[in-house]
Amino acid sequence: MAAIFKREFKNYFTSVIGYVFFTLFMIFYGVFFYVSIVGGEKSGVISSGMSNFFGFIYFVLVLLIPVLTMRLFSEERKQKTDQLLLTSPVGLGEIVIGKFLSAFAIYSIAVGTTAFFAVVIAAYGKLDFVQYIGMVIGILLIGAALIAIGEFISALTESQVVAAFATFGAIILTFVPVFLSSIVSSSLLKTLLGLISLHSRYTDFTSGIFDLGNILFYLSFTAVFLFLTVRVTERRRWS
Amino acid sequence: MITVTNLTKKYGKKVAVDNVSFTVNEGEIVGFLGPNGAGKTTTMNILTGYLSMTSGTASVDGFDILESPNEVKKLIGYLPEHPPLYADMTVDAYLKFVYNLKKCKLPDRNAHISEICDVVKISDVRGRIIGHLSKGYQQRVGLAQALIGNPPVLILDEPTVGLDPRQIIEIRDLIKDLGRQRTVILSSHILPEVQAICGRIIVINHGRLVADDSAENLTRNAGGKPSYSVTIDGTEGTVIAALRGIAGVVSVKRVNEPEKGTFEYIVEAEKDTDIRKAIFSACVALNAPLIDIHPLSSSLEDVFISLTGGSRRAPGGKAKRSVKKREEAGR
Repeated sequence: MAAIFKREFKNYFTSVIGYVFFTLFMIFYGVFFYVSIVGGEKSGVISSGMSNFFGFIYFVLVLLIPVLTMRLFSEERKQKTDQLLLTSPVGLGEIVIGKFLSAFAIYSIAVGTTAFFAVVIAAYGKLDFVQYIGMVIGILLIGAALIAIGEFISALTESQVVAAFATFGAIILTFVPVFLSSIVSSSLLKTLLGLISLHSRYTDFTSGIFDLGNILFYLSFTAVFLFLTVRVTERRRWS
Repeated sequence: MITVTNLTKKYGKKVAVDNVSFTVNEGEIVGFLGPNGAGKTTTMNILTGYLSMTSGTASVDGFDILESPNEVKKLIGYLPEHPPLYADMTVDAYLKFVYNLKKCKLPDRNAHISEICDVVKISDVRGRIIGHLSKGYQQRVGLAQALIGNPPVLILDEPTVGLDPRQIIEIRDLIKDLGRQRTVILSSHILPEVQAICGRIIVINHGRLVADDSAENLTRNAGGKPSYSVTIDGTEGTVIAALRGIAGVVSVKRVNEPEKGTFEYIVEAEKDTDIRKAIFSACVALNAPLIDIHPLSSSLEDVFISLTGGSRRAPGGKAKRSVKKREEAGR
């Protein structure tokens, strides 16, 4: 597992993917940083900029996840390097988790850069530390879930491009319950949509609420898709 | 060391490997021979745990591939048909990755990798990106990958594909060398290669095992009557009569006239008789100079063609199916 994690992690930087991811992320980061701080200053409340900023960053990160996950398995199959992995004395679970962790590590680094924002806020305004930590944990958890979806989709195809677009589509789909719940009037339906939605739970974290149920929801969501990735790869051996 | 029993693999309706059984003893070098699409690669992929069989069992050193896959995989070094190389890594980084991936626990990783690089002669390209290497070098990096961790069993799927003639000879010698301490299964559709390296040959055609024997036995048994090409300077009629008169000669046929007045004959003899000396004496008696005589030994090639050519009806026989389709289309 360590070997796979290490190789995958390095691969983000020996290939162009890591740079594309961080470049796109940094561009949006800079723009939102400016808008949040300067916009916040003009309206007189700097600290209110933080949840706006995180709202943007959250959206950007989520949409950039396909870049991280698209080649995890598809490229191995295309280059036939999966033969090396699958004929090595390594469990399929280790391979899947190793790859997942490498993408998650890159994602976490991106999330980690928000510490800079927090420091700036703390220096020039008032930082709600609990809220900040809540948002970071929330973003990390939802990222894990979506990376697991992306890895699963990557295991379904030999084409990176197909994997990227399908993952992008799947991530857009995860927002559907959010949109739906804003247009339905039945409160029962609203609650139901909130329960299945990946994103509505994030708002709890932004207000600094650490609900064990929410944490478990994201973790089990991640686990299910990692398990499905193992199964779909295993199935290919038998077909 | 390797035991395969009633191995069958179906891809949907197509039977790729059909009830194949064989054993490979420790220290043997066994050649897997068969035309393209015969099921060699599928069998190897099953043995290495990349694919699963539809039915049957395969075990290496007593470990069943399904029950204890990791134990089996630890024992095997595998070079697949397409070397599984990461094109964007350097040779060195790649081999280190493979070492860690295989969870090798040798005292000195770098020394081990250096040793393997020396053996397969890639030490001079260790710092280079794999994608930039020539096919020959890539193939050797693939072989190096299989050797990492000193596995007691090597499974090599067409190891000399894409190499130039000099490299082919080098790799063959290398495999022979490696085979001194290891069990090796190697596949090929190049007959001289198998003949040169392997002590034993398993011939597979349309997923079925059609022969399993030493190269000598295969040629001897399937060869039939020995025949010779004989070129003699002399009148055709008298020479034929003289040749027919030799004890043990079954048939004489004139095939060629390479020079004026000199004829080439194909002389077929009875099994296990050597008629060369008698032919010489006959020529001396006729005062007809013997220009050339050489045995038309039935090579492994003939054996191979006779073993694999005959059964067109086998499952998944593409040729036949496409003919049928064409016929249907014609109607």
